[in-house]
Amino acid sequence: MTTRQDDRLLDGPLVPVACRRCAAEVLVRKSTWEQTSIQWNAAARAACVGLQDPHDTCPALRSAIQEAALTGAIKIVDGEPAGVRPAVDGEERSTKNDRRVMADE
Amino acid sequence: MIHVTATESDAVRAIEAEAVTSRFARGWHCLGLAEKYKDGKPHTVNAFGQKLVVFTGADGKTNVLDAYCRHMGGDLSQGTVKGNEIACPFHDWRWGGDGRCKQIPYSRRVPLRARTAAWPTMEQDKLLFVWNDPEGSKPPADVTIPKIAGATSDDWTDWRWTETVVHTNCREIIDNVVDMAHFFYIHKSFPTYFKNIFEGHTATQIMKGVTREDARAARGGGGGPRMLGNTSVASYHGPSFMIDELTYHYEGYDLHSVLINCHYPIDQNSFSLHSGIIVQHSDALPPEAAEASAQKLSDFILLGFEQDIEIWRNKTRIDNPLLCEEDGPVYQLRRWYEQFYVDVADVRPEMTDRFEFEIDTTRPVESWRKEVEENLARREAQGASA
Repeated sequence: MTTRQDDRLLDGPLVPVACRRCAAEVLVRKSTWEQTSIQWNAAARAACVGLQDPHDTCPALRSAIQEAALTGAIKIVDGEPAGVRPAVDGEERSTKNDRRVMADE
Repeated sequence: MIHVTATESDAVRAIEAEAVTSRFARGWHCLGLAEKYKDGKPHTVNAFGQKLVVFTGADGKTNVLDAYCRHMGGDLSQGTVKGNEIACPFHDWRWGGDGRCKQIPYSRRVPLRARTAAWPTMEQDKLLFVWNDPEGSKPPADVTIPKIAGATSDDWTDWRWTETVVHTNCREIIDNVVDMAHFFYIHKSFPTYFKNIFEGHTATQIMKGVTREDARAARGGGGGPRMLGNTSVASYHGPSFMIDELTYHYEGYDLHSVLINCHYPIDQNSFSLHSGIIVQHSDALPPEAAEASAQKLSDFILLGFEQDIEIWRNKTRIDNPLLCEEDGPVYQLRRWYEQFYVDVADVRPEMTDRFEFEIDTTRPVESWRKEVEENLARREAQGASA
């Protein structure tokens, strides 16, 4: 089996975010404000002190990620790739989409 | 009309699929209810590309051996349990649970090298597990299946267990861990929250959902208490055994259940898919009602498997799925899954390092709500015209 890479990472890579409560530094990607991917490594996992329930996201790390998104340290990838989906009636398209999509006829 | 400017998006996307590996996953695999194998008879189990014999000796221990007798190739699973040994139907050679030939009644002594393949077994929560390891190592103490408290409690029902043979490679069912959208389109459920966490040898799916009103209407509304939604925390512990703590929220009470979704590979292109369910008794759900609920849920799960199987029967294997942002982490799940198919020494950190992925369900929920409303409106219109 060859391990392949998720093509979505081409549209927006994972970028490092450091927790302010502990020494953990993880890789993060956000496609929207509500979507989050977090890649840990062993060092970060060992450093984390806030992860009580393994099914949760560490609250301190969550804050750090939110802040990174707010300050623009991590970019929010547009969740709707340009041109793939035709505009729904009445829906506004971002200027970014407008630049990459041409009206035909 | 809209089209995309001429870029790489004009190239046809090719589906890629490598040949299925001839290796079978390292890990504990559940062979079903332990009781089934305690009838004093040998059982044939086709698993890991081989024929196995499962038998319980007089000492009560259930053993798993390669079914073919090392003497002249007789099928031990057609033989007889004698004491703690399985006797070959061909020449009565007696094999112990440790894989050693203990006795050949017509011979003065047992030849050297009279040893066959034996699989470590474990009985837990009334289930029989077998350890598969292509490297032949013993199961490490830290690679365990967690105990399920309800399985041995008086205030839970007994297992309702089902077994189904599926004719495709078992990676297909693993993919379901991250596949939120198929729960709407295939299983007629309505996810509103979806998160995955992979770490070590566990892969978890946390899902919350609401009842689909169009599916309820299609079922005829149904009497009894109204189900509002459900919360599911489901984890694979190793490559094949998923424990799902599944709570159904009804108007006025919660129904707590534990659902098992597990399988063992028969060969590269088929697997034995099992489901098990237990339901907790409660004031709202006295024992008899809980038993009835467990049966209903078991039927429902089987229906869900059939829905998956119908897709698998016709789909193609795909190593490079094309994903949108509202899809789950298929690639990272497969990276996690790969740890069970390589030697222990070749397990790379990225296969076991913690990974979290939470889907933004805003758009899916919006779209599905609309679809449900349309289905209801159509149904009403048809009802009115009928």
